Amino acid sequence: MTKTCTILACAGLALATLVGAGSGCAQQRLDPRAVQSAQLGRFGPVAAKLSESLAKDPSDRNYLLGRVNVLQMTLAEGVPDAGEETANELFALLRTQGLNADKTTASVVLNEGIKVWKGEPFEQAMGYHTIAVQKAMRGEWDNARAAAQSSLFLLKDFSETVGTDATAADLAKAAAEADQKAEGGGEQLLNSGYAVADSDFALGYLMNGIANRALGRDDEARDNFAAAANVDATLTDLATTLQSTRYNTVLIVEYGFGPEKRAEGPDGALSVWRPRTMSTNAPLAASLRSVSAPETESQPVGTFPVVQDVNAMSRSLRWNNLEDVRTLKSALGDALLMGGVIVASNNNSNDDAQWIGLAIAALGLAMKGTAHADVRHAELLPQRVYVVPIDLAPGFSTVTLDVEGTRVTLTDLAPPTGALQLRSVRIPTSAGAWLSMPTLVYSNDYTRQRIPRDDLPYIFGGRDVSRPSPAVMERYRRGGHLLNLTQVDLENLYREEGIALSVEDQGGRMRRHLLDGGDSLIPPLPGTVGYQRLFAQEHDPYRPKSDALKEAIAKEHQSEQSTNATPPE
Amino acid sequence: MHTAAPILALLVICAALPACSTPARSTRLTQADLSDMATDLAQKLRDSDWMKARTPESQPVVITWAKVENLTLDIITPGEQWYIMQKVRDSAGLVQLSKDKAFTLVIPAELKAEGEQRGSYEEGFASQRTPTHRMDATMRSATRSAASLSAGARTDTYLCDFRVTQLSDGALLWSDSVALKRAAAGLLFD
Repeated sequence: MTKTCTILACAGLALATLVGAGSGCAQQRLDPRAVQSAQLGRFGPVAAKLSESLAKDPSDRNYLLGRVNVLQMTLAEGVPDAGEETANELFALLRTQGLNADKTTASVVLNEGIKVWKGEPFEQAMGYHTIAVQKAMRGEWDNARAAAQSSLFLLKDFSETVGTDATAADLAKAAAEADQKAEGGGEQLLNSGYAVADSDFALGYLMNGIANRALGRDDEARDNFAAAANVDATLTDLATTLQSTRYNTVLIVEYGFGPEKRAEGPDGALSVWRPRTMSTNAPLAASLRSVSAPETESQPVGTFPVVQDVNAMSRSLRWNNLEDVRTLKSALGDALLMGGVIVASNNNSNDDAQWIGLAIAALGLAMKGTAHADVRHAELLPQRVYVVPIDLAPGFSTVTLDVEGTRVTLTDLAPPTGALQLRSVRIPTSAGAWLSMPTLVYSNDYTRQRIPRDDLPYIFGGRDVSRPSPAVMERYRRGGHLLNLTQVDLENLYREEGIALSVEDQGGRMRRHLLDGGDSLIPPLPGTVGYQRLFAQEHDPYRPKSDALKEAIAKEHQSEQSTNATPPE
Repeated sequence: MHTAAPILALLVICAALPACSTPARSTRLTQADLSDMATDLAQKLRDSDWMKARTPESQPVVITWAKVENLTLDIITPGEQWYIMQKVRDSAGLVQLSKDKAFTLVIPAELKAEGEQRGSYEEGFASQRTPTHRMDATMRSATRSAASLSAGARTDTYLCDFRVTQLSDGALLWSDSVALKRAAAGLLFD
């Protein structure tokens, strides 16, 4: 086993040099600018841009992949309502069986006519988890439970056949050897040499537990928290906290970027997962303070362990498809045929170099000119996930999160109206100073404390991006603004500008926020990174487009001037 | 010979058509499933002893309803959850029956709150609603998968349990359920 690993590792290295790692396949990958923007924390604009090109036909190869990416970014921005359509479509396709009705496959050679990308098992589990988060953020705990439980599908466990820590290469070698002993032996091993195993997706168990707790189903919650601790003993304290203590808010905190799938080997025929953000066990520290308390009076909430390492999932045999194993098995079979002679003649010399050469030659022979590995994958998945339960006191609170030297400040968090609320917090790896700003510079639907110039809409030159409502109109009037406009008048002005006031206006999808230069007035939820990015930093002033708004602004200026010119009595 | 040829052709065409040859690929509930379940429940409610026993002279009751609680492994959107209950209400003809059976239907608190938040209802709308009874339902499911993952078969049995409860003491006045089964073939991973 060790020898095979060495050979494959060296072969991979040599081949990366020979053909260039990840060569080709650029057309299958996400636009690099999308990943760069996500690194900066510009999740909303990424989601909006990717939403524009979502495939409409479920049989389209990128139907599901596009939706995974869009949903990831929509939730990272903090706008779960704009992810509703996407999440439901994603769930429908994930729950459809046998789309690629041949082998257990996510990544197959392009010239075999794959119809739909459905992802590796670990990507599917993360897909279900993302749907569960979207439902929980909307307060649909029953649907969150359904999605979380769906993420806990059974897995194939080959440990009795190839050992507990076996890799895909080990399984491929065992299958190739079985082929040599008896024709079809390798395929038989792959099809029946496994035990059906319960999932070890700790994050899925915790989400399922949280959803059940929110529904008042304490027994099922307890079972799921216990299952998570059983999978990973480092989660025991967290599971106990989630089971036993009082909390009304759960933060699902995501950090880094998950592994990428690269085409390696001759003609890029083999696909290999490589980490982008390195795995560490760095804990997350959380603290909390009431909005009325000084900054120095933050109360520590605790430190929280890594719940799920997506890099580790990509390395795990049980979380990967078997198509890559079959490709490797086929090539190794050729290598073993030739290598048998070499092994016999080199028993004393242990010449690995000859093995490597043979492996490369065999791979080249098998793959040359026929196929290129499909390296499509969910490029916007996080590298790791934390689960942070918090009990918010009445009023508004500010939560601070620290992980790997990055500090995130989440303002305007208030207790839920129901028993429990959940937020997705995606920590950007290269964000600006706004990420830790404790004060906002724009008011919105959720702010309750006053912000300078929050009594005038942003489109009029003010600092308020609230959607019109009786309370908002009253605030404008108290500030001496928009005295001659009704709520309907203001709504009509937004419409004249092409600005969407509801998710329905946006066709049920994500659109760029007004402050980002877009046309949506749907705010992210407080307690998300999107909320901080939009409202805790300065943006360019709005430029009116319609004559109606230009006229209204002119009238507003005249009204202000006449008010200022009126001498006090 | 003359009759065999068209039949043979039909069989060939049928075998080639996906609808004829492809097994179901998902055990998810369809809109038609939800509609059928609601219709069956409505019929059971109409035929129930509780409903039959009510007359214009019965003690007047005020009935509200809640959306279906989803405890299946399928996502049922809030819209669909409300749809099931409203379909039961309408298919049972509850509005038409209300005078003969001495009951009043009032808007659910959740819909009232949502409407107020949207600005659809003026302040004070339905402030006098005082429901005495509630109709609600829970959807559950049981999943059976093939022992071998390679076989890739899955069956989901769905059960919708419908109740009428007296709010003052929680007494269950009527309950019934409908079930349906959906099976699908094909590997789950695929």
